[in-house]
Parts: sequence; C-alpha cells; structure tokens
Amino acid sequence: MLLLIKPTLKRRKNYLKCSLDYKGSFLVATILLIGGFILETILHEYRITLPKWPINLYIILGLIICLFVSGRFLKSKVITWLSNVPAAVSAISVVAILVLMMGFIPQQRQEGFLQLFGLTHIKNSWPYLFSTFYLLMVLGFTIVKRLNSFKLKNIAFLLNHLGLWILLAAASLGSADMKTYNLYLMLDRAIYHAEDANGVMQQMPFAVKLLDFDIDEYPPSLGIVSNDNFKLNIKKGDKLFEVNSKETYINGDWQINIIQYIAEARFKNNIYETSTTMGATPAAEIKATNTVTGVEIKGWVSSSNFLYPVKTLLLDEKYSVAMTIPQPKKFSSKIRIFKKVSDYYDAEIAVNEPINVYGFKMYQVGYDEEKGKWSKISSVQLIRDPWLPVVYIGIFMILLGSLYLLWMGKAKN
Amino acid sequence: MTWLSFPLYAYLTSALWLVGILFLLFVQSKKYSWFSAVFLILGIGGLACFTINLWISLERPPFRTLAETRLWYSIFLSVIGIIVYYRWKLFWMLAYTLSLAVLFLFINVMNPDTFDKTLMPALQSLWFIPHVVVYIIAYAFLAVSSLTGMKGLVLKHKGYPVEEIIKLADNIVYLGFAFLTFGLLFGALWAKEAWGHYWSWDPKETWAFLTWMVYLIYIHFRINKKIMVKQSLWILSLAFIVLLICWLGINYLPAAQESIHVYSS
Ligand code: HEM
Repeated sequence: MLLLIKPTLKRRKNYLKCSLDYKGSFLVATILLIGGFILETILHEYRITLPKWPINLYIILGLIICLFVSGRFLKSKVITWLSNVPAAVSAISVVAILVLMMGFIPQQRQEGFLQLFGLTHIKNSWPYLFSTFYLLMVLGFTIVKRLNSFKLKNIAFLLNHLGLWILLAAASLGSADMKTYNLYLMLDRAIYHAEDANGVMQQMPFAVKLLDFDIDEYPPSLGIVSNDNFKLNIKKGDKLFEVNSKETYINGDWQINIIQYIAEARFKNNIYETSTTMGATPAAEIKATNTVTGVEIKGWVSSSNFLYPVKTLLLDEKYSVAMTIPQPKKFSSKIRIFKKVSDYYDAEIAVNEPINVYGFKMYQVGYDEEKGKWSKISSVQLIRDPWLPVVYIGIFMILLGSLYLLWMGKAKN
Repeated sequence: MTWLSFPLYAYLTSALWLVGILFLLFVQSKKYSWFSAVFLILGIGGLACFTINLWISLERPPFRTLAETRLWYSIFLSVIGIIVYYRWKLFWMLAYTLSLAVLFLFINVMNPDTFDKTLMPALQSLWFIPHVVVYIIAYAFLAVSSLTGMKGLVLKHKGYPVEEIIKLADNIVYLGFAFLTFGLLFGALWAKEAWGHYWSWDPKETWAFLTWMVYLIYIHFRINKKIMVKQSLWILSLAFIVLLICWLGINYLPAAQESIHVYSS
C-alpha cells in the first residue's frame, strides 16, 4: 500500500512545486513587461539608443563576470530559480509575446495609443529591452550552472545555449556599431562621399568610380490581352508564349507564330531593325491566324521602355497581342576603387555577390529603374559590422548543436 | 511541362495512395504490407516526376511561388508518413499525413501558378535551395508532430494514457526543430550575402522567429516529463497555427505588405 502511495505523493509534491515555480516565473516576467510598458508611456518621447563601442563591450564583459561570480553562489535561491526551466519558459514567452505583437502591428510611426505604448517600435521599446535582458540572464545562468559540472555529454547543450547567448548578445549589443552608407555611383565619376543612415554625407577613406553598369534580362514573353483593360487572357496554370519559340501558340481562336525576334531593336521608317543605341527594345514580328474565320494578321509587337511606348498588335475588337516587359536576371557594376589617384583596382559587384573594400562590404543595391539597362547610375551600399565574426561564431555553434540534436534525437534521455 | 498537366498527376498520385491505404486497411496481413508500400511509393514517384519536369522546363529551382512550395510539402509529408508507418507501425499517422498531402495537392489543382521562368536576382544564390528545402522538411515534421499532439489531446480527453504518443511527438519535434533552426540560420547567412543584414525584422522573419520560439517553449516545457502533459499537447497544437500563419498567412497580414518574402503568385 505504502509503496503505491509514495510515488503519487512525490509526484503531487513535484507538481505543486513546479506549478509554483511557473507561477512565480510568469509573475516576474509579467511585472517586467508591465513595468516596461509603464516606463514607455512615461518616457514616450525618449528613444532608446543602444550603447556604442567600447561601452557595449564593457557591458558584455560585465554581464559575463556577473554571471560567473554569482554562479559561485549558485546555492542562493534567486539564482537557482533563475536557472530553472520555468524561468526559461517564462523568458522565452515574454519575448515571444512581444514578437507576436510585432507580427501584427506595422512597425512604423503612427500616432495614437499604439505609439504611446511603444507598440509601433517594439524593438526599441523598454518592455523589449527588459524582456531580452531577462532572457539573456536566465540563459546565462543556465549555462553557468552546466559549466560548473561540465561533462562531455553536455556538449550539445552548451553548443546550443552558449551559441545562442553569444549570438543574442553580439547581435543586440553590437548593433549600434553597424555602419551603413549609401553610395550613388555615376558613370565615369569618382565618388568619395556617401550618405550615412541619417542622410548626412560623409567622406569615405577611398573613392569609387563606376566603369560600367549592366543588366542581363530574361527574354520577354507574348500574350493575348483584352483591349479594354489590358488584362492577360490566360488560363490559370498555363504559360505565356516565349519569344524564342519555334512552335505555334494557340489561345482561343487564334494561332500565333513568330516570324522573327530582335532582342534589341529600334523603330525607324516604320520597321524594326537591330540596333544597340540607347533605348532599344525587344521586338517580334508575328503572324496571327484565326482558325474560325481564316483571317491572317501580320505585324510587330514590342515592349515599352522610357523611350518607346508599348506596341501591341490588334487582332479583333476584343483582343490584341502584347509583349511583357523583360525582367532583370542579373545586374552588376564594374567599378574602380581608388585608395589614392595612382593606387586603384577594378572589381565587379552584383546582387548576392558583394565584395570587400578596405574593411567594408560593398553591396549592389539598385539602379535607375526608369532607364533600366541603360541606367548610368548604380547605387551600392557599404556596410561595416565589426561584431559580425562573433555573431557567426554563435550561428555556427547553434548549427552544430542542432546537427547534434538531429543526430541523437531524444535518445539520450 | 506546365501546371496545366498537374491535375493528371495529382489524381494519379491520390489514386495510388488510396489503393495503398485501402490495402493496409482491409488486408491486415503483415506479410503483404510491402504490396501497399509499392503503391505509396509509386504515388510519390508520380509527384517527383511532375516536379522534375517542372524544374527542367522552368530552368530554375521550383521554390519561388506558393504553389511550388505546396508541391514540395506534399512530397516531404508523404515521405515522412510512410517512413513513420513502416518504422513504428502507426497507421493513423500514415492516414493523416497522406490526407494532408492530398489536401495540398488539391489546393494546387484549384490554384495553379502561371508558368514563369523569371527569378529575381536576390533569389539567385547557392542558399536558395538549402534554405527552402530545409524549411519545408521542418514544416512537414512539425505538421506531423502537431497531428500527433492533437491525437494525444483526443486520447487524453477520452481518458486513455498518452505517455507513448507524447514521447513520439517529442521525437518528431526535435527533428522538426533542428531543421527549423537550420532554415532560420541559413536564411540569416543568405540575407547577409544578399542584403548586408543578417536580420532585418522583415515580417516573414518576425513570424519565423516567433514560430521557432513557440517550439522552443514546447521543448523546454517538456523537460520535466511527468507534469502538465495536457498543456504541452495544447502548446504543440497551437504552435502549428503560428507556423501556418508564417507560411501561408503572411501574404494577408497588414504588417506584411512590404515584406521581401511575400510569395509571388
Ligand atoms: C537554440 C536554442 C535552444 C535549444 C536548441 C535548446 C535546447 C535544450 C535542450 C535539448 C535541453 C535539454 C537538455 C538536457 O536536458 O540535457 C534544454 C534545457 C534547458 N534550456 Fe534550452 N534550448 C535553447 C534555448 C534556451 C533558452 C533561450 C533558454 C533560456 C532562456 C534555455 C534554457 C534552458 C534550461 C533552463 C534548460 C534546463 C537545463 C537544466 O535542467 O540543467 N534554453 N534546452
């Protein structure tokens, strides 16, 4: 009899203690959240700015020392509680609640009570600051507790938790040191002034000259559009007619064949001819046959650009043939980077292919979209992020930790 | 190959799966269960065939649009269901995953994509395929874990013991969560290459982070195995709603109108 009762009693006790822990933890988390919101309404005109180098480094070092020193007194009630699962769940939960709000409320300035409570700029609000700090502390104590009794089989635990701590600390406290500059390059001009995040022009330690800007485009397609609203007449799931196709395109009563396609053409003396001058558009000469009436129509279609209007081919009172505007496949800039007038090198950048320039990373961002591939402007971004290596260490630790989770599953328990 | 020929494949696959399932249901012989495996795998083969053909004719990886991701989802979900069945003999799991896969196939039959070869420059990266594939695998596992969670809730409600089923759910969550973490971090590494910022709180990123945190809560909630089983099952079931909003609902959220991640249609 006793044998039967004992475990259930123990379980009940366990349950009571644990649910008390959860109540306590969520109480603390809620107080932090509400306190944050109150502070936000009181200080609502004040914007939190995170500290820059080297203050942020001191804060991180201070946090680490603080965690280790108090780790020595791990027996103390507060710290045992802070490194427990209920505290962890409560900390992740408050951050999740704030992120949930971020997911529903557009994060841009709008007057009203949302603004007053900081809900339109959550990641710069007091409740967010408090709850991420709480998360960092709980996570930190959890790690220190494990480190005190380190065993090799804790390695996955440490990779995940320490990795996340490093990632969070470096990404949040390091964010103030991230510098972004916009550079607007113009063909054949050396530029050494860039716009910083506040729109102020700053002189760079080097100059950049745009040698060439180039866009690769996908070939356009043809489609049949209705005359009154220019909507494509196409069955869901079907495809448009490719300009390079040798086949016949059938749409309703109409059969279309392409006689010739010119990738870069200009309209002169009533015909399209190959040309490489600025503003040349793709153009196709087509033959359309009506399978019911036998009517045959021949003519040119071309897409529009900043120079030429769109040219469609009228089929009947309802439909015309039109060409889509070519979509960019790749855009890239050839640039020359000067340290001094006589000290330079050439490079090429494209989207997804940034380069390193004297401690900055340089990204292709945009171009003059109206001019398209004839753009003489290329905008690039220079980004310096000194904490990036630390963030990457965190990321790779978590990747390894997750790999371990994947490998072992829950088997170890 | 365009989406116009998709209904044919969707019907064929569904029919093959139906035969496989019915066979298991009515011929409850261990000896011949390989027979239904043939039908189930042939069904996946049909989908794979369509996908490969689509990939070839698009001349780009078919991961860009919502219909394309749903296609992959059906494939991974059915693969997981079949593995789970033959490994752990859970018939209901097979039935659920295949139903979900068929549901997604039929959404695609009703809502096919316009054939479009173009791929914007930002998506042309080595990260594109791993990022999306890993996410879809995660979603498939987590869907299965939530189905398990809901099954557990029903059992619990009827007064049956749920230890076994929640243990199974835990295992699947661990797998799904590891893939989810990969997806999130691959995304960050890619974003750094493409835009210069590994995290910009784009609405899709916000929701992806939220999804990740909800499963993180579940994992930690479950460390003390003995208690609050019912709450755990609820968290697991609700987590899936967050996941679905992240994946499918993001196109409709007011906060997401400027997202770089909204799928084109
Ligand atoms: C990458 C994210 C994370 C992963 C993959 C993860 C995973 C895990 C796993 C698998 C365990 C059980 C390990 C074991 O018992 O050996 C665990 C325990 C724990 N985790 Fe996490 N976790 C993560 C983030 C966090 C965060 C953000 C917190 C706190 C804010 C946290 C706090 C804890 C605590 C307190 C424990 C219990 C430790 C103990 O009992 O000694 N974890 N975590």
